[in-house]
Amino acid sequence: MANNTKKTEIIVQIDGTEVKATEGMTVLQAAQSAGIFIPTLCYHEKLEPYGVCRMCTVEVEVRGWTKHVAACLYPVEKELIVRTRSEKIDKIRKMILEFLLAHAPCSPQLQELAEEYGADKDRFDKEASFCILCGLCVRYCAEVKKKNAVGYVDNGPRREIRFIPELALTECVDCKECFELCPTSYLQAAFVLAQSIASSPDPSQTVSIK
Amino acid sequence: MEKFRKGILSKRNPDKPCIAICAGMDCLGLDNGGILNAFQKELEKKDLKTKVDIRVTGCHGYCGKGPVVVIYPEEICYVEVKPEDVPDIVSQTVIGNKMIDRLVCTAPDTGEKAVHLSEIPFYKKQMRHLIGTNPKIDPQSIDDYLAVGGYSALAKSLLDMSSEEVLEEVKKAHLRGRGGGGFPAGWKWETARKAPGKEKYVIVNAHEGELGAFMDRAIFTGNPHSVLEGLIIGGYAVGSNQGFIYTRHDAPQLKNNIDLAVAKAEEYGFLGENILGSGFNFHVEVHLDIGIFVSGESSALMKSIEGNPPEPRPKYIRTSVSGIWEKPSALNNVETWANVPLIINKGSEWYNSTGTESSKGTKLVSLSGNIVNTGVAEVPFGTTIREIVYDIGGGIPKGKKLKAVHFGGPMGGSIPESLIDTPLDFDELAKLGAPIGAGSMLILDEDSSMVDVTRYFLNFLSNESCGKCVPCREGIRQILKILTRMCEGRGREGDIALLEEIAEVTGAASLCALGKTAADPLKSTLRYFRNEYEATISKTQGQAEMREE
Amino acid sequence: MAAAHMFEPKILGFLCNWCCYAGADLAGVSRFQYPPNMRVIRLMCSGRVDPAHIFRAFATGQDAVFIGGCHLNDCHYVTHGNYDALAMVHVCKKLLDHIGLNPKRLRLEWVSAGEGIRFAGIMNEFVPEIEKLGPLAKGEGIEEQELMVKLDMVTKLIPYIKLVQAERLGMPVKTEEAYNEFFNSEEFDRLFNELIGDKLIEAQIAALLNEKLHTAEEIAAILGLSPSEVSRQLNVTARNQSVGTGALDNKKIDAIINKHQGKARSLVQVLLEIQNANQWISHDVLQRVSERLDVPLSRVMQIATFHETFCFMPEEGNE
Repeated sequence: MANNTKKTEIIVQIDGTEVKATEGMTVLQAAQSAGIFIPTLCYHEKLEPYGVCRMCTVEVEVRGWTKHVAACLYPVEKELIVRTRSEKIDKIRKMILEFLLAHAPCSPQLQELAEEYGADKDRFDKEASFCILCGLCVRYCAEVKKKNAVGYVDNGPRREIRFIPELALTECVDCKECFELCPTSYLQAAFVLAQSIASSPDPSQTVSIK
Repeated sequence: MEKFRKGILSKRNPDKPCIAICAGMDCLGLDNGGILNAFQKELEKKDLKTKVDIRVTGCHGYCGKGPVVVIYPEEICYVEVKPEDVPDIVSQTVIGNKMIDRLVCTAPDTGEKAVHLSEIPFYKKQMRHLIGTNPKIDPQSIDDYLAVGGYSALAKSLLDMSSEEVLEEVKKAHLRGRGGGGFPAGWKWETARKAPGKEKYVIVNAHEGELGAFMDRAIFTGNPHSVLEGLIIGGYAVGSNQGFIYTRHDAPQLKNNIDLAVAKAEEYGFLGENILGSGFNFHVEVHLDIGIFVSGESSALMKSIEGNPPEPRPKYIRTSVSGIWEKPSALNNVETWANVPLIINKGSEWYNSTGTESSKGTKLVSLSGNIVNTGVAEVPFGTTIREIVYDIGGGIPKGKKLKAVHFGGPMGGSIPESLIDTPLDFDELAKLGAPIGAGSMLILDEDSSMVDVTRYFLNFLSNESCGKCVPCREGIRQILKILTRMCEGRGREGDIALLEEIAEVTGAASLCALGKTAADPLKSTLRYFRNEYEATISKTQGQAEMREE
Repeated sequence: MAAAHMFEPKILGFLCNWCCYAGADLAGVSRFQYPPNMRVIRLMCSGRVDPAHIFRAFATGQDAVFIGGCHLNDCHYVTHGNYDALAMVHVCKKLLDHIGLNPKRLRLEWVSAGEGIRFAGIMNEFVPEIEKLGPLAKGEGIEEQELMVKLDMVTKLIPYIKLVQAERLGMPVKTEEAYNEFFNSEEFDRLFNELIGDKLIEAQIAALLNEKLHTAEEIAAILGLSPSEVSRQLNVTARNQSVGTGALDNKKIDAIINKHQGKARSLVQVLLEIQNANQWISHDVLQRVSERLDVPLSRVMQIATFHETFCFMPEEGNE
């Protein structure tokens, strides 16, 4: 029951353990507060949860209904039962890793998780782009630095991150705080690419090309 | 207002001949403009301009036989009309009261002629509550809509009923969403109504993106006021004073008709402040999309109205509780809104008398693919698929056999020929793995490759996905690669198992409905047509590759 | 086919200190004859050679570049630098091909300290080969100035290329067969084209468009590509940066923005109306919309690129 403090206390069950959470917390936050580990790729404490990597998929049961949800987004509620590992959850996580390893097999975070879930990096053909589109860079620049120097372009399988060339040549040079968030090194690659394409040849040196 | 309506009606002579020219999408493309010009010229020539009306209407639904012209009051229907036929029509039928044989609907096998609307097989088995109005009105004229009884439901709701009563009536009618979800509209409205906050929104999802679905466009372009009326009533029931219409940017005729309808409704006092003196205020804003299928998803749609990229969010918190700008927003499909005035006018009991146990009322379906009569039809729930395909649809052309009927486009499933005695019903079809979706029916004959059809849908989805979450973006990418190989005859051992595994992950872990149902056509065709997939696996190639390793 | 004036190729050689340089020395001491066209730079390991060195060599007028190192698996350093050199040369050959130069101008050989004869033999083969190819650029029929621009473009992209190579085009297994198999595979071609090839084209198109608003056909002719490839890239390039002056009518754009009371939430409607009025949207327009509506440019770009609805280049036939 609510006492006169700011937030109501909600008790949930995670992997058989009772966890005290407060209203407004997500399942992931509740689990982390109790020291229960749920893998994530696109989560960062300083940023709004994004829920796109789906590694944090867990099974929740409430009022008799069971479903799979992203722990970083799902709000805690009364009598919630959470399971962080199961055959299906492991299958989901393994396949997500295999999808991403086709892009970035050298990423340390992916490799570590791949060992745990038995993911095979060669299951799918190699994909060219080694960005896993976790969005940490975009969101950091938008929410923390408020500069919006890097953003998404295109949709679907063609989605990629791009720096705004003008900002890459100015603001980013003194900042680069997003670089350490990147699980692969695609962010740096995108950065140098933006710099090199932005500084196009001096018009006075450009020649008439016949 | 009734006086106003009577005023309009009194100026109209129900016996006055009227030539209704269908201006639906199909007929527009087939030069109905030329036909219109020809009629205008001809009537002028024969000095009949004041004695005969010409009305350019919305889609009649008989798209396969367009351009369609209907002569009232006899309801004589001429099909596949050309501008050269017009002088004959005027002299022989309008003046001379004689039928022109070559323009009349003829059954291909028996040669039987059907002249009047009620005799034509395509129309006979339909129950045209919604689309039946289309041939009778010009969508750009609000007077036409009023003449057939339009806005009486609005008057009844605002002046004779309380907002709770309106909500109760819609709940009792068991109106289920027609956009694909099939969710009870009344419950959704109630959630929005009960959600905390003064500002609430009601939204028309006119972003018809499902491949093969064109009935929303038919209704909205042909009778925009019916949807508008439903929206205003819905706003009253929910407690919302602001409505949004979200539609595609690439349908100029639709946008024009909507803009005109909104303007006229404001002019006549059906929108704005103190509607009909009831004290209820309601305004409508029209928004266009940027052209992507995912912006038809409700949370993506709401993001787009806010001016953001149309990216869905997981619906752990319902949009009816937190939608546009986190205010409670009740979103429904065009057809759902169009049903509302009917329910209010005729009552939920009447509405419940049509349909099945779980699905009440009628459904618009768009028939396309290998079928004789393509177009939009309206049938009561419970009609069997067989009746729709053969009695209304006219069967399969060129004497081919039916293989499957695909519902729900890229997010649906296929019903094999053996199961076409299933009645049209939300739950029955969902049980078979082919949920009705928005109502598009793609008819596939014996020559179709189910693997290729599935590949086509996945290719569509890969271009239309927002790309935010991994299971959808990557899952569709990988499934598409495998299916493309299969279509080239280069399937490998283990491909089918891999497809099933990817489908399971994409279905369980995706963020939104697009990703979750992307693999449904795959699951459905694997369920009923697994042999076609197995046939694509090149046994010799598979073994050769294994030897190399 | 004797030329009126004999062409003496200029070759720059990077030889590794432990093996190849010693081998070359041995050839000299043993009086094995070979043409004197190569200027040698000694470095400690063939793996030290950077793409920037290679392209700088070509930019400063060398007709060919030679890299010599220890035999594979014999590298004197624990890091097996010669494998790095092998990977790097594969990528550079593709780059040379991409800008229209003959990849044979870059050669990588493994020569051990005792292989003096072999070294001389290689030189006796390589120099005539380059003679036959002709001087840089002239031999391929490219204008010198044009080549300079292209080399400059590649050089600018080298930091990107190196990152891509390290992350995506590397081979974890260090055997000769694995390397050769990978670098000759379709997979490598595909990855290279998507990651590097396309970006090179984009950079070239950007430079061309900065000069003047060429049409797709013109660009295709200049770059030696198919028009469809160009069209694909054109839209991508044009939206990412300011290209040319474009038909930017500030008054018209402001009028549309004002119609929507400059509200950020009308972003989509504003862009659609501009596209309708103008038929295309340039990067400058996106910037102006971003400023006037106070919406970050990256968000405007995300919406503008969210589907193929918006066009960033004037279509043929429009002004």
